[in-house]
Amino acid sequence: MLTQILLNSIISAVLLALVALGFNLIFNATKVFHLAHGAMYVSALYATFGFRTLLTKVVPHGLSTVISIVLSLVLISVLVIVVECLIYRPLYRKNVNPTISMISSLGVYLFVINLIAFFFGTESVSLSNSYRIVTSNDYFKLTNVEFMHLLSGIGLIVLVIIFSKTRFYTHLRAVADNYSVAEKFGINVQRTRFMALIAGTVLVGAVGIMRGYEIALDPNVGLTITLAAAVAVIIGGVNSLTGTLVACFVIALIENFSVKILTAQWKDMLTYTLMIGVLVFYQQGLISVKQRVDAR
Amino acid sequence: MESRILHIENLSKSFGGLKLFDEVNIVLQQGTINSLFGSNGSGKTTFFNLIGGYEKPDEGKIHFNGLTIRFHNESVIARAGVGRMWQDPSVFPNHTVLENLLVSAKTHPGESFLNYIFDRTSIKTKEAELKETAHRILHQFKLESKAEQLAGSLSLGEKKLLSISMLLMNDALLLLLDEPFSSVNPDTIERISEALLELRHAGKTIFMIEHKIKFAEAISDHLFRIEHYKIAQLS
Amino acid sequence: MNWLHILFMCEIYVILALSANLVSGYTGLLSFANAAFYGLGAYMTTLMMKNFGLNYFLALLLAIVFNVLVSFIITYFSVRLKDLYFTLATIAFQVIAFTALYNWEKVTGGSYGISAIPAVRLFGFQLNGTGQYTILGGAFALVVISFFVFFQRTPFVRLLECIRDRELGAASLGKNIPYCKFICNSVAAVFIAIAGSLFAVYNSFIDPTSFTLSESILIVNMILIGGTGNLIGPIFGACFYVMLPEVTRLIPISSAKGASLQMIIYSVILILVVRFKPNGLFGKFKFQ
Repeated sequence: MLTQILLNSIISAVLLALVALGFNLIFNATKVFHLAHGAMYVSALYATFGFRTLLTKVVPHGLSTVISIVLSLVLISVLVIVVECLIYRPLYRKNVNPTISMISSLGVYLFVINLIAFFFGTESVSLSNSYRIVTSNDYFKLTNVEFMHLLSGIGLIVLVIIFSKTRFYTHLRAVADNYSVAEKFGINVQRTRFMALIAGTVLVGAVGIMRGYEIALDPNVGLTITLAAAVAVIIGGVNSLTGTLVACFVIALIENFSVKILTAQWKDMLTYTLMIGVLVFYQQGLISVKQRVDAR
Repeated sequence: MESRILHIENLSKSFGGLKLFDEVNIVLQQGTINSLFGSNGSGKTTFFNLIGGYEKPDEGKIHFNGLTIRFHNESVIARAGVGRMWQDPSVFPNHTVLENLLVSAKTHPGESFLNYIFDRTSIKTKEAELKETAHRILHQFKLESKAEQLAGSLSLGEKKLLSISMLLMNDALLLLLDEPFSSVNPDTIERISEALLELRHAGKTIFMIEHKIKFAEAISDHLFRIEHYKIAQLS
Repeated sequence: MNWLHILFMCEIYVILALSANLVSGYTGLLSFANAAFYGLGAYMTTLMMKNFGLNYFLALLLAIVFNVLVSFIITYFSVRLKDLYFTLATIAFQVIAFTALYNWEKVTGGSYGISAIPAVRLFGFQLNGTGQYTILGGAFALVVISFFVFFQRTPFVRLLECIRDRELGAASLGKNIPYCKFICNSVAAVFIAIAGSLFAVYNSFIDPTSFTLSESILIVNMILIGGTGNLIGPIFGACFYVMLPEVTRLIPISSAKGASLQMIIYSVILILVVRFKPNGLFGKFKFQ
């Protein structure tokens, strides 16, 4: 029982971590509280679903799935680039209050999910409904879908870790710290922004697609997972990928243990309560005075 | 009768491992103009932040006007009489010069919501009173012609003068000024110097950070410098 | 097109928009919790009337008190948290409130809502028909508008605006900023409770779907498009957004698709306004 919960936690943590790491990269590069992240999550799934429905007429099933996945990841990458060019970048140039960019991100989120709802309806969509138990012993049960999640998830996390050792990541940190200084050092800020946006979006899209194999999703789940990711980033520290990773495990553990006591709907509420708790108590409450005085 | 308006006792402050102050002790007399010098990054602004309550010292005590500061809250300390002007003077840009002064009054029944229900006359009376005082101050600082202009449209020098006059309106006893003479033309330096001298005459105490040593020295009674994490009195 | 109905909804949303303006336009902190308070006002009034048989006006009074108490949470957020994080906290608060209304079936009827809400009785005379409720709504709206008109030029609002423009500057003058935020949030809670109670008795049926995050976003849209910091902005925004669905209703598509289309239009407007006219069309203040 305990080990089952632990296993479930690891799997949810891995998936949440990918979303959170993506959010972290994007937030650091663009300083935008990217609520549209959740829209990408959902879009990837619906896009894959849509493409596959079209392609299975001409191409065998397995291949159509692969192509659809690739196409949908490309699609959402293009989508986020469009958002950057039309919305985030102009606002960044105008140096607006972060609330404004968050609201515009919220606008994008609403636009995308309602567009999906308009065309696909608000019924849930899933990529597959066959799952079978792959491993079963006294300690836990594992389904093939969960196994896939675990494997791909860890694989992607490893990729992210490798990425964090590259030059590009150093550029990202520099831009996050102080973009004008970074520019003076010859770092191409725009390219860093693009890269972070694409990387983050592909990560979250991948999770959306993976989840689509396990359960049916409807257009509205994006916001909750974005906020859960945001909580992880805030707890783990905006500056630290490892911190975010660890925070995801903590959150996943709390969520999975609480499922024993609360029902699914209340579980969502837990995420939001956690977020408020984190904001109020952990967020160094008030912003540091130096920042306030400097920010004048 | 001179008295200590500010007494700083064994003040220490570090910022993330970087030591700024180590057991600083200074005393300011009431009704004096004092200048603080020091190289860039030596912590002058932080020092003023500590006095004003914008930051907390790691160790030591700050005594102001006979009281020991316990709660490092900028509002509370401001109410006790410590005024602050920043290098970028904090005027309210979307309000007129006159309104800026009116809002600087320390107490106003019009700023308490309940009075609108129970005691509207006191609001009207106070408002009229403040308008009179404000015009007097504007006249004193030669800003009268700008009374109805939006504060955001003033020149930097005028904003500084406005900021100082707001502190006067606020009944500040100790004025902490961040580089009052920076980035302004000689005429304005003249006006600001005059204003500060008039304030001293009225019993206010001025403490300023300045890089334009010459102008600061010209009107100061005492000079201080930050060196080796301490503040030394030079005269 | 039932003009009386539209008028009534305008009255409610004008009250909501003016209240949101009080919370966000004068503090500079954008709150997404408005629909939660709207819902709390509606549910509280309903429960008092149905479960305790109270008269509408008494129920309203209790709803107001309840809303003000709950608004202390928002006040706490607005004192402790910086803009972005405040906004996030209000989003979380909104969703939590909605989840509670939706799942606490015993008290709120859950997703089924509460129906057969009694009519308003005034001096023995029972209100019925859209027209009479519109007059009641109009009376309240007028009170709220007069309140704001009266306060426009007072020292209190002057202080609020100064705090909004330069909070640190206001603090350095010794102003009691938490008090001001408290007043804004509390007064707004009072008015929002009124709007909620009006909706409940007019509709005689309430359910959680009227009080979602989308609804909060709608209210925020109203003050963003109309502009904050003055009266015309929110009033215009409210009327604009009440009229808009009437226009989309003319398009021959299913109601579910219609709802999505509405949200698409709202979100596009939101993006455009924020991007090009952060002042709103009439506003005095930018969320800078």
